[in-house]
Amino acid sequence: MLLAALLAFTPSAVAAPYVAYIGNVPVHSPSPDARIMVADFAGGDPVNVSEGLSSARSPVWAPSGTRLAFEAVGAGLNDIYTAKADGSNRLNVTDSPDIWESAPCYIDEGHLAYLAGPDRTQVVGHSINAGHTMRLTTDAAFHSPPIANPEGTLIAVTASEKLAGPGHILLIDIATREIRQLTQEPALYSEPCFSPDGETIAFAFDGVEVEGSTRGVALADVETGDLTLLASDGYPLTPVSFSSDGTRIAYTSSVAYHNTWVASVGVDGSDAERLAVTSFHIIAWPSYSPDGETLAYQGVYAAKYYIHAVNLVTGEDRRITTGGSGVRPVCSPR
Amino acid sequence: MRWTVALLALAYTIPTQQADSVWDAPDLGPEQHPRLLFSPDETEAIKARLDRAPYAGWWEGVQLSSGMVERALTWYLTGDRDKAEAVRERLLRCNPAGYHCSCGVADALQGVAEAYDLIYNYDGLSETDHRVIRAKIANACERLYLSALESGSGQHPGNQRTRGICALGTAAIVLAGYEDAAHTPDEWLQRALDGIRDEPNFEFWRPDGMFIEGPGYSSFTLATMMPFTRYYENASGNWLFDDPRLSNAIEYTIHITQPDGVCAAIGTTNMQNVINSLKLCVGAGSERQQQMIRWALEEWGSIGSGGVRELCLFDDSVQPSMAGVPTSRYYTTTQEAAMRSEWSRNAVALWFKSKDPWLAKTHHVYSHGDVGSFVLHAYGELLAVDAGYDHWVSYDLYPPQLHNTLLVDGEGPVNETPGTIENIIDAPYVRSADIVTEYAGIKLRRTFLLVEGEFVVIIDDIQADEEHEYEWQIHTPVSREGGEIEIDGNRASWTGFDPKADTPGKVALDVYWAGPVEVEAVETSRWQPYGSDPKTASYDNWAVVARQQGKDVKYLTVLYPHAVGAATRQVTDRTDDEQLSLTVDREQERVWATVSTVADRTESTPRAKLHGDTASSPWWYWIAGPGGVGDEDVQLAGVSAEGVIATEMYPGRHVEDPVHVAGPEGMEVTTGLARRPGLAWHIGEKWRPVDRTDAGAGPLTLPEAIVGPAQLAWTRRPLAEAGETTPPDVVAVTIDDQQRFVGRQFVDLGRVAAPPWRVSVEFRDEGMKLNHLSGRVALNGVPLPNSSVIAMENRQAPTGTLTGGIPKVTDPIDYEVSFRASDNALRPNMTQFNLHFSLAPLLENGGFEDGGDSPRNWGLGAWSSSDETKYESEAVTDNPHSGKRCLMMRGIAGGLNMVASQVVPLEIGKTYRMTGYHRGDVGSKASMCSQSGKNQYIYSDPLPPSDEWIPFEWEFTVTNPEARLIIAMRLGAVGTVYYDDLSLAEVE
Repeated sequence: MLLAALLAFTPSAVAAPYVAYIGNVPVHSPSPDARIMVADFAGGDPVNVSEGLSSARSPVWAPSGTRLAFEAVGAGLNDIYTAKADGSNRLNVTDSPDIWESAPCYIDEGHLAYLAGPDRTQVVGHSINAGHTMRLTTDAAFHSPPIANPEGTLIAVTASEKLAGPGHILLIDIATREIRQLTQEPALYSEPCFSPDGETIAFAFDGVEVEGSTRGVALADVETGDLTLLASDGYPLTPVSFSSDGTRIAYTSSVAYHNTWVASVGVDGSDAERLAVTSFHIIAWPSYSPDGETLAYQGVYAAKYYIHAVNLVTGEDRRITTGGSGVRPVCSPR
Repeated sequence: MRWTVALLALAYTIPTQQADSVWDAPDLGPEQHPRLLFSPDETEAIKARLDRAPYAGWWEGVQLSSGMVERALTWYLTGDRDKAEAVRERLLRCNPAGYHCSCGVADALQGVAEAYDLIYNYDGLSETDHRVIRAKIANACERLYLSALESGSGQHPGNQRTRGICALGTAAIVLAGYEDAAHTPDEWLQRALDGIRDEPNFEFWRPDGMFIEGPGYSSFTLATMMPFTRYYENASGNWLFDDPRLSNAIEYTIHITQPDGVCAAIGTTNMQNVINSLKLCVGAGSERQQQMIRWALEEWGSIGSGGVRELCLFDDSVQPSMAGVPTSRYYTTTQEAAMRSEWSRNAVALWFKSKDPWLAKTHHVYSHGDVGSFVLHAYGELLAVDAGYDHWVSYDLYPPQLHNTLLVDGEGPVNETPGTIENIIDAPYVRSADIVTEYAGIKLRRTFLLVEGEFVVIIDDIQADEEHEYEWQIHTPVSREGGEIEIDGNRASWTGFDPKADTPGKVALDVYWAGPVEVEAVETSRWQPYGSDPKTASYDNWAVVARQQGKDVKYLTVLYPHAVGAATRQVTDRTDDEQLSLTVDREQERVWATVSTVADRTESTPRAKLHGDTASSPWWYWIAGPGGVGDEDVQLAGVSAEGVIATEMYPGRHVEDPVHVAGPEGMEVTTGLARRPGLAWHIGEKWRPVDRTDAGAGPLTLPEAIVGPAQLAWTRRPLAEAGETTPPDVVAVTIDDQQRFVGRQFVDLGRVAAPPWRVSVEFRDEGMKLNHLSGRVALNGVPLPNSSVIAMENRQAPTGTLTGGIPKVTDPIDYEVSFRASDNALRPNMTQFNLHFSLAPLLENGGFEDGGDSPRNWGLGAWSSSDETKYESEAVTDNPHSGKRCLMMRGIAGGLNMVASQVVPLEIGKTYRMTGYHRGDVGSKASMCSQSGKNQYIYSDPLPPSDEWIPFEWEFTVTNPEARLIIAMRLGAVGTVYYDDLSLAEVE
């Protein structure tokens, strides 16, 4: 009897790899009741891992791929939560009803970084087990969501003086809290994305000249800051995604600020490709599955947001958001 | 003494001096709150509205709403902190930037901005709260700033893009003091204005006001745009609808609305109410347009429904008026025309269209194969229909076979077929225009005429290089499943039809074709009037075709609408070897319509002509050239090319001799007027002297093409005076020598025990003075006999009285009496007074006969439920007490709180008696309460189970002060009850 009850409440999405996304986002609504949904690539029904919370957004995966972190409103202002992929073991990591915290990322399995502040923010490190926090930046700024390198030693984040204004990509040494400006010229930069080997950072940009293009997708050498242009149709309002073998980058492609589509390109600038799916008016926000064979993305059709996953080998395109809406998919790393 | 001939050319309003400056955003200045809906110093004025109609009803709904903006306003006006806290929590949870789609963020961002503006001074908002919320709004603004000048999916030009950037403009005004973003709020606001006006977006409004995505999407756009324009006006003093295109868009919306209140589904739109989207115009802009919209709202809209925006922005001091608003409008960019007999719910109204070549070339998705199609609505019912629209679902409704087009060997115009509108005539006795197009190997000139505001004549002049089979199509609203049409020789007849309820109408349309045509009903038509889903909103309807075989073929067709059973004119086919001819007779009045079929016409044989005769004497002519009327020596009236002239042959009804003319450059115009010597003319937008270069007797020559409508007039008065555009006023209305209304052009008496028997309307015109023969009184669209004379002390008196003796009507329906008077201006200015009264029962459709399964006027449902709740409610044909239907309510399972309800105009302090019949296997009740659930909430004694119909009676006195009161039949248990023949009456 007990077993049956347990089975009845066992979410159906249980097998890695997963895709997390923001659900319950009707097109004509400011989506105050957005939730974090997790689906597996095997095709199970998505699970709401933010049950009971409001305005849950910004899902990110732990390196192990078994847990994820996200921001949400429980009591008071935005807090940072973690949970297992099936929604169990949920933890309010920050539990600070008077502070607005957002945009978490995993440094390693036991540590997070996130933004603290209502508009201009500080980047904060946080020990999940000990509950300690440590401010990693000195000056408040408008930051993109931070991201840690695979080794868990650096955090990359864009910072600008003005909301949505030109800024720089910063590298923060977690141990020393030293901050290094990776980029030379201020511009609109997307949130950065580390390569699997941690040696380069990929991003979309607008407003700085890279190899003759003032807009595009580029790689920056983490050590030197040298830039390599990969594509000239970057869209700096969404992040790019590295394939797990580090050979390709998927990105949101647009020559302007609308009409986006998903494209990919080799890290040497070769084999540029436009995603061949036909179900949507516009698509964006690509995320590679851990084996690199599948690409999750968000699309819009007939006034509804969907998450789809396309198998890059077979071309099979499958809807992840069964029965609901969804945006901003993030694939687990395992 | 000064004699002048002048000519007026007017297609649509072209405000020439409307400043571009409305699009230049001024400095927003310091931030203040509230700012959008009203300013702090207007707070008391807003509070003063809350207890009076129509605001009280809206306020009631606002207080009950769980919406963010509604709660914010409720806090602002009452101090209810629970509401404020709920808004605060919601604002902190919102993401107004959305996820990529401009259209999709429009409502979200605008709502967040409105709510924040209202709640800004709530002391429960911490500094952190403010910073979070402001950053969210600013982030959305920056996102939209980047894309405001771009188009694409989700941000298509037209509705989607405009909606999103209107939200940007709204948010910019709210965050006027925000300094932390890449761009300033002033820059956001200017970007919003630039985005709206960006030509690839703004061109969706054609210069004459037509919105190419159709009235439905126009309304969708205005849902966000109209609030923004009011907020922008509050912040800057600039009224965007002063822009000529947008000003014309308001007029287009009025003119595309059918007399029954929904827009004509011609082109890419369905039949839906679009007038309510103009509600917020009442309070800003030109007084004339505000009054016009207020009139349209009273006549067609729902003044009873409103929310926060209406509560704060609608100005109920604006009086409804259609004074000076012509009943016809011609669109020479869009190539369409709209004309109606009067401004009322029962007008005879006709829309027809050609095709804007730009639209045909560039925007196929908004273009059906419908050049030459038309829609006819008369005496409250739709009688000839266009295809309708299924939005983005398919292109199934685009083909010409589903429009009222002429088919050639089965083919018709396609969506890329352009056409023009030409030869526009706007005379009091006949209004007309030609649709000119080419397709399927033919050249077609199709002429539409609305004759004496009573019936329609259509003339088709086809030229081809070879012989074809032609099918003249007309699509009816009659469902093939439940309705019938009648064909008798060259005549086809049907009534209006409600396909939802399979109910025939009370108005008939008789269609007569002249000459040798073969008339047949065809089963190839589909009509989708009400919605985008073909499964639920489309109907197989009857179409009728009149076939002819030949090369250069002509059609002459009369469409004669009339109430079923009413005395009608006699239509007679008098076709002979030289002409198609139909006469339309009533007693001493006759209209002749003839179309020449001879190849070589003489100068005195025009291409086509109509003339209205009284006692065998023609008093007006409409002549399509080349050709004219008269004997061999003297042509009385005519034109030398394919133009049109309309003239009164024996004038005297007017101070001047009006002649209406349109045609190509160089066309010679012959009239008695034209033969006056020593004249000259100019053509312009206003009355100007004619520069007569060919001095002396003989025809006048058009120095340039006139599409129209244009008018010549012989006047002895100074043009500045004779061309005056001020319409008469309504001084006062007296009903049955008892009730008197001063300065009103619209009065609704509501339900009355007996109809008024005499209504006198006193008009005043200090300037041009009233034309004493211009009166018209109509009851439900039908002119009353002997109602054209306005009683005046003398011709120069400033006032005159038009009196209508109202027939003793008894049918339990709504009635409308219209009174119309014009002045003596060269182009007469018209004013109309409309009187509504109703003999309809207090409780409508108590027999549940109207509306099919879903009885009209009744709301069926449950006021509470559980997950297990299961029930059925519908009008059924199962053993009704009388008629064909009764109401069935069946409770099946779970928590049951079933209702069949109707809002009823009950008055506090009055006693009412409800009666009816019921049967069933379970007990039920009747109840009376307010829509809000507040105050008096009473039930009848239980209505016991009964196998047979048994009567019941319930008497109650209203003590509930709420604005909207409801009568409801209630079932709260498992079982089935039936009701029939319910009625409600005031107890004297």
